[in-house]
Amino acid sequence: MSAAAEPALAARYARIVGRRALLLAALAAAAALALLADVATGAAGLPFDRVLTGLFTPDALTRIERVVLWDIRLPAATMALAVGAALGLAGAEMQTVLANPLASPFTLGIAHAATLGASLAIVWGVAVPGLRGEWLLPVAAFVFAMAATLMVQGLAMRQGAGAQTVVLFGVALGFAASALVWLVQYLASADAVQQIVFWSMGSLARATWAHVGLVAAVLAACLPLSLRRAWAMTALRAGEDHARAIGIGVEGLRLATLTRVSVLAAAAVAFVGTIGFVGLVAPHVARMLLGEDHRFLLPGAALAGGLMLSLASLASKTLAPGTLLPVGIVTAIVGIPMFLALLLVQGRRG
Amino acid sequence: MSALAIRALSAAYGRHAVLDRVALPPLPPGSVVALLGANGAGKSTLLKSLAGLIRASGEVDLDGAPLLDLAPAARARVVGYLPQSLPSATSLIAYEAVDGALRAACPGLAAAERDARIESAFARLGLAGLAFRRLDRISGGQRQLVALAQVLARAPRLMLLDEPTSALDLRWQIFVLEAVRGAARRDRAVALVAIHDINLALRFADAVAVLKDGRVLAAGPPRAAVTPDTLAAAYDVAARVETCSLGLPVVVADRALA
Repeated sequence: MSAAAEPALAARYARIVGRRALLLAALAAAAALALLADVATGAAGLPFDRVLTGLFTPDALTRIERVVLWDIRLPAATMALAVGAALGLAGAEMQTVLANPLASPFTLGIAHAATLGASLAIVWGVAVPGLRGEWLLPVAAFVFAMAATLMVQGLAMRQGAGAQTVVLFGVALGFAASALVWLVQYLASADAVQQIVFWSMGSLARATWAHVGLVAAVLAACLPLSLRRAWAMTALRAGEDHARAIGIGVEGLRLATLTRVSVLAAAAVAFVGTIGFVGLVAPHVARMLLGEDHRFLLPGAALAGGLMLSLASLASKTLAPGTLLPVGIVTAIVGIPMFLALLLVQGRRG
Repeated sequence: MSALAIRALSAAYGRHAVLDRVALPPLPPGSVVALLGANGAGKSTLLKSLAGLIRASGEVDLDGAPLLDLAPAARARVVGYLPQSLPSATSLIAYEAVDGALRAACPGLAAAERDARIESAFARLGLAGLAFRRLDRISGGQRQLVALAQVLARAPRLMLLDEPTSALDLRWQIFVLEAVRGAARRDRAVALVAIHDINLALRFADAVAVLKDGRVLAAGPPRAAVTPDTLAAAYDVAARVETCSLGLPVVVADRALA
């Protein structure tokens, strides 16, 4: 074999890449189907053909049907997809830049800080001038989540921005935020405590089109930026020293990625509450299916996250007929067995 | 003309000077230089400062152009550094590791050229059979070979290899050093190789530099640079330099000096 011969390895690799592209397309199709099933399911008993008709010609529906489909189901279902995708992408990037399979939007204390912000808004933030009710909680959650991230980043930067330093600061900050949430709950009225608990369980029901648009816009802005560094991220999986050896500024890449990912995760949890599991597991599912090539892994993690949260949303409506279970709970209850099964299958194959 | 000229290279970790105006004889294209010295002598620091991973000052010319002023991305195109640590055992595929490194370091390369270079690097290291295995499913030595394939695929003008044979068995040690020498001759490049096995170094190197406490103790052709005196000064051992039945120099260390 010589350099002049037909590059047989490249041909084999091209086949692997082709297979991954196919899997990615299949994942996208599955997410689309899950979205459709999610939209078609609900308490109002809208028949499937009416849903299909209403999606393409809303005017053919009665006023009530239109409200059910376009004002209740679609915002919640697309929110599930967008939030799942945002958390999946955020988790995948965090796991790579922190070289830690346990990293997720929870690692940097983002979700805990968001809960703290929401709690404070529920208990004391009754009226902020110029901020309408539906925006008060998300804005408070987002501001706190970003403040937490900036604190972690600032501290980490002073210490050289090592992966372990970032994780340690993030976990410590998460504990601090949790403790403060408990303090707020301890001081708050029973009614407020109930609202805080309900918020932190995660709910898609409060989604509006404006919220969906915002999360989708943040996701659409972040994904191309993530993909631009896909090769550097892939190279980083071989180890920090080896990435540095090929001219990649590892610390800069880490800080830039963490900032982007924090905005993404903060925007996602601000609107729906704490749904941590997706950000941890969706990247692993994508990695098992698509491998480490970040050109596929990053969109794959987003799709896997969207698919998981869509299915969870579907399950939250169907598991206990007549009640809408908090999606955060369902995600974990349904998702964890699926994830364990995947791990076991993977282990047997390996 | 010399390919690499290190006239005065200094580097420090904080206030602690690790390299003190290191100078080597001019190195012609195609040469392999072994860096010898005890632990902490400055071998890794020398390689890292040439690779641009440590801030260094001084005068170093590669192919007639100053090397130390190059920005990281520009330096990665002409310098191939192999870190001492092995690549992480992740689910990254060997081919992908090399492909990714090549794309990240040499973004302008055409796809066909890239494919051919990766193919050739895997072939030269006898790695073709492992190309589609995951890094967490192959041995540490094999991961070290993958990392070396990353360097060879980039066809750098200067190879900086930090103990490239540390995880390899006897056959692969010889195989790898032959491949490195082959690459240096073929591309008329220079290879600086930090290595602990002195006899291996004597066999494959065109020149040897012995370091101690961040200074060059001796540098030149293997026979001239590696003597009982330099070995005693560099490693604190009493050692002999014998000649084997093939006429090659062999170092035998007898005892540690107090």
